Amino acid sequence: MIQVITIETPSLGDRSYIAHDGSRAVVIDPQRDIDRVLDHLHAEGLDVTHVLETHVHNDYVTGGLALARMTDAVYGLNADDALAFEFHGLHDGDVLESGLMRVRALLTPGHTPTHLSYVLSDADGNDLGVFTGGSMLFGTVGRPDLIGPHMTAELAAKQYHSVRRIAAEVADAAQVHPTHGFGSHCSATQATKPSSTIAAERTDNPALVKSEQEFLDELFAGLTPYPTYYRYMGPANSAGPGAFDPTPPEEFDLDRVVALLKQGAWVVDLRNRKDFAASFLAGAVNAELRNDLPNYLGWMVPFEEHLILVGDDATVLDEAQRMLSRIGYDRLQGRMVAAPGAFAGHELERSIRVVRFDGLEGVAPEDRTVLDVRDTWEYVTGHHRDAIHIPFHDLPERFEEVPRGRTVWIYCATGARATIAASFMVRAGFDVVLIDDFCLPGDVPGEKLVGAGA
Amino acid sequence: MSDVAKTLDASGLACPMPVVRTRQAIDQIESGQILEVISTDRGSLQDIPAWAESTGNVLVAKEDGGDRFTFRIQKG
Repeated sequence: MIQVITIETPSLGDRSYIAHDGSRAVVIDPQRDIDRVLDHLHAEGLDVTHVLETHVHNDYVTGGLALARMTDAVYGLNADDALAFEFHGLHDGDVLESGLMRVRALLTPGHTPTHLSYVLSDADGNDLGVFTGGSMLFGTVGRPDLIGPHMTAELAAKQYHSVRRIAAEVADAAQVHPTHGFGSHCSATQATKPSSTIAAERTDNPALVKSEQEFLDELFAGLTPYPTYYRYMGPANSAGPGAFDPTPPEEFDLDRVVALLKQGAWVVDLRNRKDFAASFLAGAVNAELRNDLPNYLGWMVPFEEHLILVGDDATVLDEAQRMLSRIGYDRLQGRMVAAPGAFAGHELERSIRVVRFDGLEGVAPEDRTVLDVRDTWEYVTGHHRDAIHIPFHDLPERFEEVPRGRTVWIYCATGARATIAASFMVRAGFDVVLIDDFCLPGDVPGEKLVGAGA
Repeated sequence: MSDVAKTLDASGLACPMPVVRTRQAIDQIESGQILEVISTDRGSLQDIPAWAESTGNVLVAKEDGGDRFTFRIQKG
C-alpha cells in the first residue's frame, strides 16, 4: 500500500512529503529541520532511497542534502541546476524506482526555470499523486517573479503551460501535493482547501480555466511584496546547506546583552507585545513567536547579522531558533531568558505607550505623525485620515521619511506588525505610541479613518 | 457541534487574513449564531479573541491544538 505523509510547516506556509510503500521511502522538499522527517521514518520503519527537490527553493533553506547524506539516499534535482555539490541530475521523463513506487520527473518550469514535478505511480503505472512544488498549487500557482524581474514574464508564461502539462499527463484521480500555497509568499495567492486532485484542479486552477492572457493579467496584478531574505535562499541552497543544529547558543546575562546592544547588536525580543511594550531594552526588536516570525524577521533584520534572542522561557527560544534556522538565520550569538521585571530600573529600560484608535482623540495633528505600516493592498481600502504609509517591511530603508521631533503613532491591521515597526522605530531613535487595535481592510472606524482611494 | 452555524477553515493563512476572513464569515450569520474558526496561525490565539471582544461578539470556546487552533464565536 503506497501512502503519502504530509509534513506541514505553518511558519513558512509550506509542506514536505514522504511517499512510501511500507518499507521504502522517497522524501520530497524537506525543510531544514530534518529531525521531523527522521521521526516519521523511524516511527514507520522506512528506508529512504531518494530525496528529491522540485526546485532550488527561494523561501527556505533545504534539509534535502543533509537528509540524503545522513540516510545514504540519492539526492535528485534537475540536471540543469548549478550546484556546488554532487547530486543526481534528473531529466524530463526520468523514472526512479523505490520499492513498489515509481516516480517520474516532469519538467514544469515557471516558479523557477528548472522546476520539476514528480508523478508518483504504482508498479502498474497507475498515477497516485503528483508532487508539484511551486507549479500547480491548490486553486493557484507558484509565483513566477522570485528569480528576478528580467525573467518574470517568461516564467509566468511557462507556468501556465506547465500546469496545463501536469493536468494533461497525470491521471484525474491523482492527489496534488504542492510544496507552496499554505501561507508561503512563493504562492501567487493562498490555498483555500486542504487537499486536491487533478480532477478538482480542472475546475479550480486559473491556469486550467482561463485563457493565457487572462491568467497572466490576473497573476501580475496579484503579486505582492515578498521578504528580503528570499534573495539569500537560492545561494544557500546551491552551496549545500547542512542540517539544523538544535544546540542552543550561549546563555547570556543582562549585562552581556546590554553590552552587545550598545555596540549595535540585533536583539530579538520574542515576548508577547504587551509585555514587551511595558518593559524592554532600547534597541531590541520585538517579534512575537507567531507563524510569521521568519517572514517578519527575514524582512526587517539583515541576513548577515548575529542575533541575540530574548524570550520568556527556553521553549520559546528553542522554537524561535528552529524557525529562524529554516531560513538560514543560524548566526545566533546568544540568548537570554527574561523573567518578568528583568529589565526594571535598567538604564536602557524603555516602554511604549499602548492605546486604541480613540487614544488619538485630543492629540493635536501638529504634535503627532500617524504611521500606517500595513501592506499597500490593505492601505488602499481605507486608512487614518492623516496617516503616512510605509509598509513595515520597507521601514529599514524608509524610516528617514518619518518626520523627527514628533511622536509617531503606529498601527497595522491587528497590532502585530505595528509592534515590530514600533520597536524598530525606537531603535532608530523615534518616540512612538503603539495603536494596538484592529484596522482590517475596508475598516473605517469613526471619522478617524477615511475610505478607499483617499 | 450541532449549534455551529458556519465553519471557517483559515488554515495556512497568515496575519491578518484569519481575522479578515473571520469578519467576512460573521457577516454571513445571524445574531446569536455561532461561527467556528480553524486557524494554523499561532497569532490567531491572540488576535481572534481580541477582535471578538472589540467588535461586541463573544468568544465562547478556544482550543489550542498546538499547531491548529479552533475558536467558536457567538455573533453579538
